[in-house]
Amino acid sequence: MTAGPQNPGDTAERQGSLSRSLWHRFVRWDLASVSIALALICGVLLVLVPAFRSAYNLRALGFTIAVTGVVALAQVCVLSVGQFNLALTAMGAMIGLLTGWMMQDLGLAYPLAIALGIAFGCLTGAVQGAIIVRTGINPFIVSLALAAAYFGAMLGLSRGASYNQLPPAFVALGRASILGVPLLLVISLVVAAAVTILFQRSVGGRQLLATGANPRAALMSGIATNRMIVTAHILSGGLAGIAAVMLVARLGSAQPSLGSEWLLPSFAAPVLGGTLLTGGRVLVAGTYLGALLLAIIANGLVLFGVSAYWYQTLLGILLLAALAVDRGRQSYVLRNQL
Amino acid sequence: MSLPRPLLPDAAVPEAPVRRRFTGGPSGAAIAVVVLAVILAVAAPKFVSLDNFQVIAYSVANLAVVAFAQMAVLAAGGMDLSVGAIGGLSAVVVGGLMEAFKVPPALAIVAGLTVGGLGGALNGFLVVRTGLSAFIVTLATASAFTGLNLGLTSGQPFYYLPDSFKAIGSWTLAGIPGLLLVMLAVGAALWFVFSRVGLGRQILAVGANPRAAELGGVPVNRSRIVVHALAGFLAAFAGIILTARLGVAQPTIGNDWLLSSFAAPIIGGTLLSGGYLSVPGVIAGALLLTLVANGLIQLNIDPYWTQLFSGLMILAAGGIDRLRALNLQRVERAERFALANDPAARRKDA
Repeated sequence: MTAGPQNPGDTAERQGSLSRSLWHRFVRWDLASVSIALALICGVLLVLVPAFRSAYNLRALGFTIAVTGVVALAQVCVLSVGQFNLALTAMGAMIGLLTGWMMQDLGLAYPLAIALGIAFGCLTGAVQGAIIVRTGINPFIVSLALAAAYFGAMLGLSRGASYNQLPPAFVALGRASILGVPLLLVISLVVAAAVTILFQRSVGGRQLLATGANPRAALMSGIATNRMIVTAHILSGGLAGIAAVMLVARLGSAQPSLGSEWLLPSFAAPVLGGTLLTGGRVLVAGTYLGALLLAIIANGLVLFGVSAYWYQTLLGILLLAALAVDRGRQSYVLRNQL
Repeated sequence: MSLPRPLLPDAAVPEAPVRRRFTGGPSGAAIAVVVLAVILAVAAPKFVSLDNFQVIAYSVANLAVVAFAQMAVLAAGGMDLSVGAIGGLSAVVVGGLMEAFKVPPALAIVAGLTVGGLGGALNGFLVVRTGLSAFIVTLATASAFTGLNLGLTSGQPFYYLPDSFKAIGSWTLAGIPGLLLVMLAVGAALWFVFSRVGLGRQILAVGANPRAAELGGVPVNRSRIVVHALAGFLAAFAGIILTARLGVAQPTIGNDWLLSSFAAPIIGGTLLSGGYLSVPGVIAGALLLTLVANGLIQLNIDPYWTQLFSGLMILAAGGIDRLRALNLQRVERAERFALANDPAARRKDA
């Protein structure tokens, strides 16, 4: 599929065909833009800021990526069918508080509380998917409305309380390491592997992608598209639950503000990594590279002593720039018929 | 066609009478407002009082202007998630100019409105030039504007605003809050633009059917940029009048605008799919949202629940929007069917 073999007779083309074909292969690579950005920023930080390499800092990065990655995957599941989940933040806050409440006030064993929390996440996702499919109301509006409803219900029931006396064994999970790698990062990567297998290898995953790529065509091919949409939202809710539990373990407390900053990264990380907003195309590895890029930029700003307030500006500009660059890359590929 | 100046070929202009009949406009929201007001008047003794009416009026004035911004973009078939961010940024720009640089209020307000308009125009430019969805563009710019706001202010409000500026927020005319009148004037101007001015009609045509509009000679890209700039301007306007009323330029202004900016237009009949808007509907929607929040307080219900009710209301409004769209489709299909099967109608059409 490289340029060289396609024009075997053209000797002028052959000259420097190795570097050219490498370039072409690179340009066609979906993760080209995000990889270059990552390499540049990592290079700068490695050279200029010694603290970047410290074990402490790398561990902090690992924790951040672990949570952001799962949050982004929660969005990816819905993006795969071409929809958005704006209720992700509210789901995270609600599940986090619920898990904290079950452990602290009900005294449930933490594995049970975790399982119930994640199951509840699936339930909220199922409600959202069912409303979208059954009523036909614009999915954007449904998730916006449910975000408010979930958040309001959570505040109304908890009265703004937070839970700080969590079981020590549970909090220890958030600090544990396996061979120096944070346990949360290991869990996050296992989740990522499962989601990859789902989309790459399983029939259900392929049907999700087909639904996102072209709902009509998918329906004509005998895929129960409505069921796929509900499934995507259930997966999204479950992953939001996993992310919320991870964050509670990491912070050692459950607060209503949990997840309030998830929304933009949940879109930015997948989009930076080549996942399409319009559905039908999902790149899990790219999503993690995107999450890594976001985490390293936030980390770099802290190391350079820049006010954290500017992070949001940079995040917004970066997202737009990345999208524009990737558009340029795609049109370059199309124009030159690579 | 009952349009005063048919600027566009018929294909680009939605059949006004059909749309009006089946999209209902503000009537549903207005009925809900009346019912709720009567219930509250009976159930909550303090609801009917001049003080409470003024509180409601100030709240509606601000909310309606925010919702006008979203309404305009929705009518053009887009959306703007950055209304709150632009409102907050403009508020601190105005506050900062007056407090730190001693700029006269009038000039500071002009600067704030310019910032809002430019921010909106940037949104529109990015949507048009990159071909990305308005959703992701405005999600990103919202983050950028909020960061700019917090970076410039370090999260600190501007407290020392000139009295002449604060007076904008507190003047009344025969007991009616001035800001309510200002909001009504803005609404009237928008109604005029969207029903009588070529540019407004073009924006609606783009929202109804961008392809048809383009074939009909409407400058689609320009209309999109203009409507985003208009939304930015209105968001800035809302941020500035809120600052004047509060007497403090807080960086957090606009943080909680997103939900209500969508809720009020949708409750008031503006179509999510674009092409139709109703200015009185937006005002009725804003009034309904405000009455619910106010009613919860009057009935001594925990304000924590407000968001739950807002969420359920917007869901209900989304359902009504869906029913309207289905109804509209059915009518259009029936009319097409009648046209195709009725030789007389076909001859008349030709």
